[in-house]
Amino acid sequence: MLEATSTINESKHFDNFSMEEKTPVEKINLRGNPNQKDFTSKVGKILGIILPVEVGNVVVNEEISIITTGPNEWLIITNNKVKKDNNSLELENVLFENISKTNLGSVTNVSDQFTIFTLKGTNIFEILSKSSPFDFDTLSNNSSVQTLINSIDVTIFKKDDENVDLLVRRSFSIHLWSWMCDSARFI
Amino acid sequence: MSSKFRLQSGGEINRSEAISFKFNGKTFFGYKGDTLASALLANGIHLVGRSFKYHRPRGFLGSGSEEPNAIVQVYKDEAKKEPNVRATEIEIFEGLEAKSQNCWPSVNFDFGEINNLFSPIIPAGFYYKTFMWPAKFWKKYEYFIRKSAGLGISATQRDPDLYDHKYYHCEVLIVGSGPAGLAAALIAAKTEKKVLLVDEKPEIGGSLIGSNDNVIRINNDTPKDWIKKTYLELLKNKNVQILNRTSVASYHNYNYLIMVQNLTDHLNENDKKNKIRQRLWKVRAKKVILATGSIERTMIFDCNDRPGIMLSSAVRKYLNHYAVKCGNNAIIFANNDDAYETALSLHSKGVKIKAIIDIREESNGDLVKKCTDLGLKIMWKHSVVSTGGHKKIDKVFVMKLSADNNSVVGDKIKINCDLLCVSGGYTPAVHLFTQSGGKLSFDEKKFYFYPVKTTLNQISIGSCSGIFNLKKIIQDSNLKVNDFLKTEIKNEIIVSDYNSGNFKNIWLLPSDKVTGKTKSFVDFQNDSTANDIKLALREGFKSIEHVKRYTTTGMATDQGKISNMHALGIISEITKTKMGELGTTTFRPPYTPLTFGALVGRNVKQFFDITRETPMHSWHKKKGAKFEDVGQWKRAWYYPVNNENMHDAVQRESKAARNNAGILDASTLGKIDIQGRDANEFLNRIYTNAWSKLDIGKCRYGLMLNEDGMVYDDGVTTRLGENHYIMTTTTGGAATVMNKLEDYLQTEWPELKVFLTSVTDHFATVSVCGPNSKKILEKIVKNINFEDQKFPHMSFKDGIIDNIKCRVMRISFTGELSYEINIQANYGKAVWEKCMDAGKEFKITPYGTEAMHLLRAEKGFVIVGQETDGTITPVDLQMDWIVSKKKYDFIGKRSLYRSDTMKDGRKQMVGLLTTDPNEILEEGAQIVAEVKKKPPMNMLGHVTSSYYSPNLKKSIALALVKNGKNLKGKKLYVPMQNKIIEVIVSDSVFLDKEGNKLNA
Repeated sequence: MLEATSTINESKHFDNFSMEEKTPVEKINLRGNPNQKDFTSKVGKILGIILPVEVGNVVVNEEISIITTGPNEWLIITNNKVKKDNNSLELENVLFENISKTNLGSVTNVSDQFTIFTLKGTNIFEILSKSSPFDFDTLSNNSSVQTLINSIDVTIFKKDDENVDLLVRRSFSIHLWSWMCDSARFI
Repeated sequence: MSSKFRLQSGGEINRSEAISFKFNGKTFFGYKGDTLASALLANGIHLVGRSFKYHRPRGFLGSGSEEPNAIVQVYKDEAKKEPNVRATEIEIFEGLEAKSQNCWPSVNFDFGEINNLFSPIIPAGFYYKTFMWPAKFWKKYEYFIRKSAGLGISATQRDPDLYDHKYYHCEVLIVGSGPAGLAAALIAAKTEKKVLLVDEKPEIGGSLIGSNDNVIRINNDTPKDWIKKTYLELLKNKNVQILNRTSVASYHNYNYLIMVQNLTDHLNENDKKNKIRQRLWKVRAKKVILATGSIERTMIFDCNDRPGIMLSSAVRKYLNHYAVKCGNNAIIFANNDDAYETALSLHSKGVKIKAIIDIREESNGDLVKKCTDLGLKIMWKHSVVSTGGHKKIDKVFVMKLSADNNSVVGDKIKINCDLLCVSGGYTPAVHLFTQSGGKLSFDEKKFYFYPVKTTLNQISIGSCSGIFNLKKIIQDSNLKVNDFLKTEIKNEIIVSDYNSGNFKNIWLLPSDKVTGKTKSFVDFQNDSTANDIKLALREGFKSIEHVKRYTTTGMATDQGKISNMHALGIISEITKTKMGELGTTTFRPPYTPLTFGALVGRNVKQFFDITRETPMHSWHKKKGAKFEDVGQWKRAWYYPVNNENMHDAVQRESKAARNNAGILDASTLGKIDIQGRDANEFLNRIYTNAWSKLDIGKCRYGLMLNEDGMVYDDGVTTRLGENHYIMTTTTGGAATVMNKLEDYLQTEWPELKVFLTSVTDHFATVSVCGPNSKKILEKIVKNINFEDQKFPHMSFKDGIIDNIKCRVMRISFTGELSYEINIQANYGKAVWEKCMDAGKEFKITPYGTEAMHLLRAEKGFVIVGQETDGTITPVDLQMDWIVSKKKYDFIGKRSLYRSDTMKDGRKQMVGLLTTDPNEILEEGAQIVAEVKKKPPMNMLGHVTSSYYSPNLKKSIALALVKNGKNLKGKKLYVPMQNKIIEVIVSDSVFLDKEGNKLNA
């Protein structure tokens, strides 16, 4: 069996700040016209959730979180850990059949496109503000922002003040992890 | 621990913590809270530096960031020495070492002082005139100019200190914590807005620090007690953050300010360890309140630069805040009442006031009355005409001013002294205001520029807005801040201040000597005098910006904080131009010098640049691969075995790829998933060739042009389904191509229903090539029939490796039979290892980007960015075949039919073969048809790629050559430094032109 290797595989603890790589979960990029009823209703039926419209908004249910990453783009993060014995995604298949194949939009598996760092503690935004120009005071719970950390594109999903998921493209993840560990030394 | 000029009591220093430090190799003592300046003054040291040009002895003029003279070299070791640090801003710590700069062998005896003797013949601009001739002497002049240029010595080793950056957003930023800043902070604190108060000093208080307790009362407290109470009051508010030792370096549009916070410079070496030295704050504030205060002016008279001549407010601060007497026999020289507060302070601490020389006729101010009551001698309508004393002032010469103030009359009176306190009034510190784009106006009565107009959400309050009376400052600040913040908060601060008399300004004081015989310094650090300014005007320089550059006034490290106003005033008087019409020089950031370390932050060493790693990176590293940077990617360059050099490794790797099997990590290629009803039409518009007839399961190479018709990117796109494609781009071009495509979809072709998703990082790409590649793939991908008819060149199949889905493309960048496996990135390393295992029996060899470049060059495949440079069309690359003539349009089509892109004789890609097959051309080398003895020669083009091909056993190169298409078989030359290399123009495909290997 092929061994799946994620990038970080460790956790770090600092002064009121910890981070670890989240066990890889299934992720799907969805694109389509939010003003097209067919698209939104089909997606709503399949996901059991209404797509958020405003960029940055996040909706969450027991199985998935949907981050609005653009005016016609969403990142669906499931709670399903990536399976070890095969990489077929049931949700992707259903969405692809109903959305992509019917030309309503596009459905793309991006499970390995992003690595997720789970950040915890009261000093999360102290670390992030060392390199991100975003005003985190304006970021409410259960919302997201796409910004730069150390000049690297990231998506930050704030669950609450002390719990954040940071999504970074896989190839940048080791560099960003290393930078954040270095930053956290000087809180 | 007594220092002879230290008062027995008083001051805000911590006398229980004595600190030893070294200055010019000698050990001195000071107290916690001292600056280097106050500690040296307490020890009676005034001579601390030499001026830049004339090497004149210089002491302390001020007490803060305006200081032009006392700039020293802080010296710890080779890595931590720092030049041009103002002694007035260095807080002493145990182990501090500093020394004077711009002097040799010592500050007391400086050979450079000989320049002072020659000063009449080296006025402003002498170097522009002198070094013009004879021209051949320039090299000799240059040697000496370079030797004498600059101040201090830079560190020669890597800075070991740590620096940090921080972005910060606030609703109210208050710059300056003087009386106005504190009044504003007290109001802002009550609004519950997020407030940031910053001050460059170690403590808050601004101009109140060092003020005379007997003169001013605030809410019935002494100024220092009021400051302490205010500080504690502000600390109670969670919405207020106070930053000391933080200087605003620059103020940009949209209320964006850069600040430098000094965190550890004041700590001793042990306490500094592993701590951030300085933090650069990048602040965006909704509202900015500038309370930056004002800078006291000196006065311009002959020999106004001697050690012991100091600004009156500085003397007062040293006395009241640091408990240091700057002298025992002081003379006050003033044109306003503020200096009388200094006189009263000095007098109360036992310093003898030899005289107060005032250029005014009289003053009815309260402080003047107090001085008169104390019996202090005031010489009204008198001026200092010169001073004496070599390394420290020991006398002044005073004369009466004429009725019109244009000359001096009567006897010259000599008064002995060891301290001259000068007060020429105050200049509002409008630097940050003007940096932000604010407009100034000149007050012709009060002789200063003040802020009048801004487009930003900001206000100026306090003395930086032109108000100098404390009571008025508080009243005005309360009103302005409430209005600015739209509040009505009562901020009760009762000030008991004194009434001031009038103020009289003379920019250049008259002298009993002819102008040419005086040395009236305007810019102390750069030794530019009033005479220099006059000379510049005589020589035709009219604009203040030109005079500034000709005389170097205001161009020293203090950026003219002391000198600029006087320079403007003198020009204004001589040219009879109103100051307001003359304008100011540009106040450029930074307000005070900041370190490169602060600017760079922690983007050093491994964080200097971002790096991207492929899923197989750890494998390459383990195998000893050398890496090259491609974009931000770390790509395996070559894999040396048994201490091979790069050449040998590349030769081995490329032979293996041709003869057996090679494996390449191609994960860095950009990958874009394209879906949607109009995906096919979209590709037709993006690429130069036709895509309508590409079958599902097939791949096609495409060339993308810019709007100007020049090659932009290339790659293979595969049709995965009816309306589903995956495009590959170059490694370096992935992000820009994605942006460009998205841009076109959103702005140019909104009618197209196409959706793009970047999947570059989602897939790892393993490329296996060579005659044995098929056998290797057959071993690991069981569900694909690899027979040529079933799986021909330029096609794709869905594969499964150990239950994991992947895509296998039969495409080639080497000219060999070749397959690319695209699999989810997390499985990339495992698949790579599986290929290595399966390929062992077929002598599979990993090859890096260098061998890849060689292999593709043998085949004549271009690399966008190597064979192209933004000026090359597909036709120039002799790739006419890829440009569709039938398509209605594609990006860049129109430009291909412009006369210039169609003309004959453009540079075209060709192959080059050296006459000597072992001679390898240098990439970038120029190509000529005719060799001349020396340049210039008519250059036809340049070599774009060059290698020794182990497979062809000869040197091969690709080149861009003018009219290259028609030069095949012609002999050309590549002139190098020591030889001329003969080359023959050839076809650009050197190997397997028929494509037999690809289809094998």
